Amino acid sequence: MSKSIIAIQFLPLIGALLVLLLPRKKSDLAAVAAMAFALAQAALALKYISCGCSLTWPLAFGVTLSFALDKLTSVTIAVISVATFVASLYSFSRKQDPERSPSFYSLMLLVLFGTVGVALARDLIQFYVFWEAMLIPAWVLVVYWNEEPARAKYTGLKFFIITHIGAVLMLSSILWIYSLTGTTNMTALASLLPTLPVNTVAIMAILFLMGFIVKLAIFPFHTWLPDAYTTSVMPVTLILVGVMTNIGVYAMARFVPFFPVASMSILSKPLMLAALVTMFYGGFMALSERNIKKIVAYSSISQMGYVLLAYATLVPSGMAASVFNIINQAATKLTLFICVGVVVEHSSTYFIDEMGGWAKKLPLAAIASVFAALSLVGAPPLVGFWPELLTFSAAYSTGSYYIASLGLIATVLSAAYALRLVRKVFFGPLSGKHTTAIVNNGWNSSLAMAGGILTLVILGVYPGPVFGVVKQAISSLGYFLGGQ
Amino acid sequence: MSSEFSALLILLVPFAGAALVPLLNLLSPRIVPAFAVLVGLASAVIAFFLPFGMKPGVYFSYEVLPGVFKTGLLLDTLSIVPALIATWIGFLVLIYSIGYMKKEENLSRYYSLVLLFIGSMVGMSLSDNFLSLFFFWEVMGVCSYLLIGFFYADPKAAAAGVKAFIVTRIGDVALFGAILILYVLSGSFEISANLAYASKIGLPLLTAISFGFIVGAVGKSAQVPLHVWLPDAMEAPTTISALIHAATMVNAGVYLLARVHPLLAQVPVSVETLQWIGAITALLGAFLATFNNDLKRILAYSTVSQLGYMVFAIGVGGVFASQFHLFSHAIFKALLFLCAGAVIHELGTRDVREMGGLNKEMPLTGMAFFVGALALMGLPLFNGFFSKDMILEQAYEHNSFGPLSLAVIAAVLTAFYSLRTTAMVFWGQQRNTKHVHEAPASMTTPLVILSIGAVFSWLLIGRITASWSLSGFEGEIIGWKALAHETFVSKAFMMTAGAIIAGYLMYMKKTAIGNFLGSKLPVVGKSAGIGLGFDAVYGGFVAFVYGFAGFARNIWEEYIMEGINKVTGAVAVLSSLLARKMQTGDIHWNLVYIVITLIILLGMVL
Repeated sequence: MSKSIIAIQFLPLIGALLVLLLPRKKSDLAAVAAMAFALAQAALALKYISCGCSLTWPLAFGVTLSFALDKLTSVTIAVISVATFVASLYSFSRKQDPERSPSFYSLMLLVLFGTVGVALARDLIQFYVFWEAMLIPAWVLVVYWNEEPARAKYTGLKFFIITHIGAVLMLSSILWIYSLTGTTNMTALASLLPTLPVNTVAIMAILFLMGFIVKLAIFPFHTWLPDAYTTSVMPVTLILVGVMTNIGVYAMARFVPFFPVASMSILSKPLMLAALVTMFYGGFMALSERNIKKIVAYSSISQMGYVLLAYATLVPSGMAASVFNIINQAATKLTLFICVGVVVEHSSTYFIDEMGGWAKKLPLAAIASVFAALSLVGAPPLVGFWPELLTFSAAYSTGSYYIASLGLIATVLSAAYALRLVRKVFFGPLSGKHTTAIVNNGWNSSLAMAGGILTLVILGVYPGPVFGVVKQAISSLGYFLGGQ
Repeated sequence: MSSEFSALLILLVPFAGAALVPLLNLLSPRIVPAFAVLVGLASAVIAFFLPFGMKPGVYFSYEVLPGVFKTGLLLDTLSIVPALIATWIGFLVLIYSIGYMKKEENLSRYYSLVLLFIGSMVGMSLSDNFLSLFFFWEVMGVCSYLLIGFFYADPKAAAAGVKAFIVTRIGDVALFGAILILYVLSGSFEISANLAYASKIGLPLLTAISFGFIVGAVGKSAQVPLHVWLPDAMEAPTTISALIHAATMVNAGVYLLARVHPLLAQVPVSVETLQWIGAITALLGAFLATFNNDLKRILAYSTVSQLGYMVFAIGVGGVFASQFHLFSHAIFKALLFLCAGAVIHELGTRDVREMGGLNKEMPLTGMAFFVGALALMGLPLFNGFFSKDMILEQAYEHNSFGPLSLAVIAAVLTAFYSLRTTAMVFWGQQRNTKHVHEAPASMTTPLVILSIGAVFSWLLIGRITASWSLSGFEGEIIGWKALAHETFVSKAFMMTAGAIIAGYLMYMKKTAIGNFLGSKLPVVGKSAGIGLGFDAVYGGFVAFVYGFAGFARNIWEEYIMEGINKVTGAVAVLSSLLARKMQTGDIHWNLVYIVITLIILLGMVL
């Protein structure tokens, strides 16, 4: 049993090392290897979804590592592995990234290694170490595979410093918890934290959650995201979208119920307000932006507002929404970003005013963008409808009618910017500003988009099985659900 | 066929058809239209058998989200009538599409979405719970977005699709909020449970909920002030206009209001609001139709106006009257649109000033359009006459004289613009040189069927009322003879007849009136020409939102946020510069630091 955990934890690391050994010129082989490792990782995580395994591993100096694989962890690892797969699939034989070398894929697998560690960790120090560990390869990717070398260092520094500040606040909270309780083991803390003063734990909680709030790019800690998303090459952006942001969504799901509900309820309203501001802020920015990559970046910020709103409700259906969100955000946003990538590849511009009529030339990308945009808006029969339903029913059930209603109004804003993007890029007469040079043989991005469409529709029409897993996943969190 | 089985089939057949169309298209694009028509026929036949031997109630139960949400099919007269309309009109539109859409590309997208649209309308009306109702309600929004923007290369069509989605989305959001608040309070999405629970909710909150429903219906059914998307939606293929105006989409809002009427009735202010919204919409739609020269926009505004009558009817408690008018309107409006489609197909223009005298070359279409126009203006013995009269009678009995007077003025204008449009298009001299032909049989057959319907559909009143009371709604069973008798002796008959005569007189004096308005009151025509400025106001609002967002980005994102980043960076650099001074490399200074540190440490220990 514990072997499965060791396999899941270290498979990406082994993959990263093996890929690194490949000859420098064999970048496509490295891509295939990365895809294989990522898929194997996803399969492994799903295979052991019901195993309920756990593992403790005493290290030196009295530190004991603690791993556990529950449904939430399994789903998350599967989703981020698939995202890594999609990113390497998309980057396969891409000519725009000439520096693509095995180390590129090795770094991707290293990010996966770090995130898997985050997902499996049941000890706060261990959690923190993996949290920082995934940041380093991601930072290297952002700085060295950047479309705007002039800004790369600035972008990378901003990305690193802002996320690092979040992580340091998290560390301070961990040390504080340790100083009062003498342990960092989460199982032990689950019974110890409620014995501490409520207000103290609330401060600990907000310090701890700052790490995730920064990662999700909640206003006003969002400034790193548009730069990092926009200037990185597309495969790296896919990693940031599908892996890094999603692990933030996971971590919130893990730690919001970790802190006692009495303390969390102090934070509930402020977090809801921050969520609301983020929704509107991201929406307004996306609406007024002309750069296509920035539009999707701001849309991502706005979406994270909905994610945070679901957590801030502190009720079971809000938590259910969050787990659904892990799947939904990955499927919807990866599809949208790949469409954007395909458009940008064929375009000589980033500005949507200079695009138009692409549906004729790129029909699959047009269909996929329409589906992704509608799923983003939460329109049925696409997967985005279900987390939206759960989020807002949770928000209303807390009695915060005004906040919930304002959040619903923000979805009109989402519809406005998402459909504006689709209309400007794909509809209307074919615009002159595009390159005819084929820069990508296209089968891989087509495959990714087709897969995206199918995922969005199937999970939208038939959400039952996913929801079943979601329900079990949140019941395994269990800390406050019983008391609700 | 048992009603239970056919109820499930009526939902599955159109959806399966919609899913199969793209696959069939891979095999052979040529069979797609025929296949779609077959699916449409199958749905229509199943829907036809649905009412037979039906016991009102909920059939099937399916858990969509285990433990949270299960859905079933609600079969009663209120829910079956919209489903019947959707499938039958949809079927006729599909037949018509074979000829009308022949030369277009991407037909698999077209037929797949049309079937999805019809299926969603059926699913919406047969939903036994608010969540699946909302689900299908939203799918219809998606279908309308994609079908109105079907000719996506045309920027106007693409913009109209987005406009339809966003404007109706405003209503959808309000509806969603109302549904969720009800769910949170009652713990259930089920419609019947929620309607029963409504009396336990305090009046302020119940008012908010009822306005959620009203705003939802106002968006979907194109009532003032959210009617602006419907005229623009005329950029769609005319078949889609017929579908949206007669079979799906706009009927949904009226159906929803009828369904939740027991809840609305508990909030006096909300039914009063409905009366005024409905009456104002009826008048405003008729007014704008009177002053328009675009054939499809005239019909669009007439839909807005007729939907206003239905909402007005619900406001005065005439739920049956609203549904009866929905039924009549679906038939004659589909007829009018399909006739308009045949004309536009031949002439290539939508401007009625460039038409005229088409009766010579297109006698069948001309006849059919005239029948539709007579039903629209409510000439006695046409279906629109009976249902509109029923609405006015209800309002009269309800003593709602304020809104009623608006509705009667609207009826005068309706008679006027119906005659004017028919005359401009089909009568008099031909004003263009194009050589036109009668449409092919696939297009004229639906016209004939719908014309018969527009004359005789009211004879079904006996069956409908019988099944209505069987479904447990208020109202007595009346046969067609009784209906005819009651209608002709009703007090409202004087209004209906008077309105038609007044409209006819206006039509006879139209040159004089036109001259008067043109010379003395040009503001009337001008304000009608810009749709009374609704679009300008909303356009201003949208521009404001864009401007605000751009301003916020410039100020906040570029100056403040980047400024904070720069300042923190600068502080770090500055402090490092200061700190660097301490690193002199001079051994004396190092010794000084060591001594100071030792003193501090000692001080802490002691």
